[in-house]
Amino acid sequence: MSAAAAEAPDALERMRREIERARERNIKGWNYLISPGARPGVTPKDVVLSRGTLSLYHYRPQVSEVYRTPILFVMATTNRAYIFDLAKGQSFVEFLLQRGFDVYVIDWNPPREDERRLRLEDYVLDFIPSCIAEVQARSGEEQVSLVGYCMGGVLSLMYSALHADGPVRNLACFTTPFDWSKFGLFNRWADPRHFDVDGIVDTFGNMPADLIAASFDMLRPVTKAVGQVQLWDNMWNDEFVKSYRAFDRWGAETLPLAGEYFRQTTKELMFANKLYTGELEIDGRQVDVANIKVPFLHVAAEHDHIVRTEASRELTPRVGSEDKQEIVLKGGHVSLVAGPNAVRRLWPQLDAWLAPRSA
Amino acid sequence: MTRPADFLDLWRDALQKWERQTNEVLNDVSADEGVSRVMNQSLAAMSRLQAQQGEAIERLLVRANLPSRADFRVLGERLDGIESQLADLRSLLLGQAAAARGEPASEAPKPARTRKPPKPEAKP
Repeated sequence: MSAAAAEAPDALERMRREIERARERNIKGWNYLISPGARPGVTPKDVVLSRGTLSLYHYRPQVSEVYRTPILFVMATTNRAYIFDLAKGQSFVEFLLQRGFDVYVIDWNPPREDERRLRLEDYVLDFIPSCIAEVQARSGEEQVSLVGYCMGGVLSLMYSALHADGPVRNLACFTTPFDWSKFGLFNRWADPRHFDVDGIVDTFGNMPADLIAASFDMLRPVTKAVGQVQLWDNMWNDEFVKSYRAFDRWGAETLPLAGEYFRQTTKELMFANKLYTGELEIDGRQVDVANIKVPFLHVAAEHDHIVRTEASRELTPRVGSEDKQEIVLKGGHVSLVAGPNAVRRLWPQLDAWLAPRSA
Repeated sequence: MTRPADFLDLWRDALQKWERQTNEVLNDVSADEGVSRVMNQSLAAMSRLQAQQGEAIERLLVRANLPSRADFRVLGERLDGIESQLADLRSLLLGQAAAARGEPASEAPKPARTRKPPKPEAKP
């Protein structure tokens, strides 16, 4: 049989498949346009503390025996915490509950007008301690494991550094910036000679969400448009569409930032890099990560376009813990914590690291 | 026998390559100090314009004796606060009523905090 004859059935099969997919794209494309996406954050939980921009969730345990030490997640202040609980089967929280952890999550609501004066001090010395106190009261346990994502990791570092004898038993941070001079493009755009942070905060009060979202989008200017094309190409694939919608919705729900908090973060961390130099002061107390002595894990994403690995590389060596570990996993800033990549990589890594340190 | 190239797969690869290269080119452009300066100047001008527009609309609404979006937002925030306090009162009253009837607390039983980590698998 000639090669051409052998290829013919294969080519016909592929043509038939593409015609079928084109038909499904049309039908499912209409369905996509007229139907709302799946509701995220479906794992049963209770709101156990709510105060303005702060919400603390307690997820209901799903097993009869849990590890002694509860976990408290600290979400990044720019986005909603349902990235940890996207959908059934795609939920980091659900995974941890089923692995026997007692899970609490700090989520942030858009700061109100009257919260524009919130500062790092409020997050580090009020919100996190209030949540820890609530976790202690509800669980009956003195110690907690803190897990911070991105800016939530920065806040967790600050809290842990200032409470070296405190209730933190383990500290895990994901994609947490430490050397803010290694942010790449953000350093160029937020050049203190041109970037008038005072003007923006004084004008808007709180930093508008659309400006924050635009700056993230500008890191990959055409990716959103290409994503739309890829969505159309995969419209026949229900799993792809479900996942796309969940991530798209989450990305579109970027939060505004409290004005003073944004001003302080920009000046103290981005302009002066004070967390890295050890000059940062919170309420007059110096923040030195060398004071952190508890077991420490940092997980960076190899292809993180927001917090590049260079920006977090020196964190683990500078933390004072003897039991410390840095892991670089494949994936990007978001795919590190959610989606198929996270299911295979980060989730089991955190479970394996935390379990022996939580009993 | 090698599989013949699929036109659509080639197109998908080309799209990904175009995305990566275009992002790189645009990033290089926006990293330029001049571009960064112009971007920030535009942002400052836009902020000023937006603030001025906001103030003008606010004045107009005051003259027309109409509430602004900010007024509604403040009202909404106060309603949120009232709702949350009502929910706290409701759960408090339900708890007291249940206690008065001698019923056990409605919370689900708490799991035991005695879980041990799985033993590491023995190496062959």
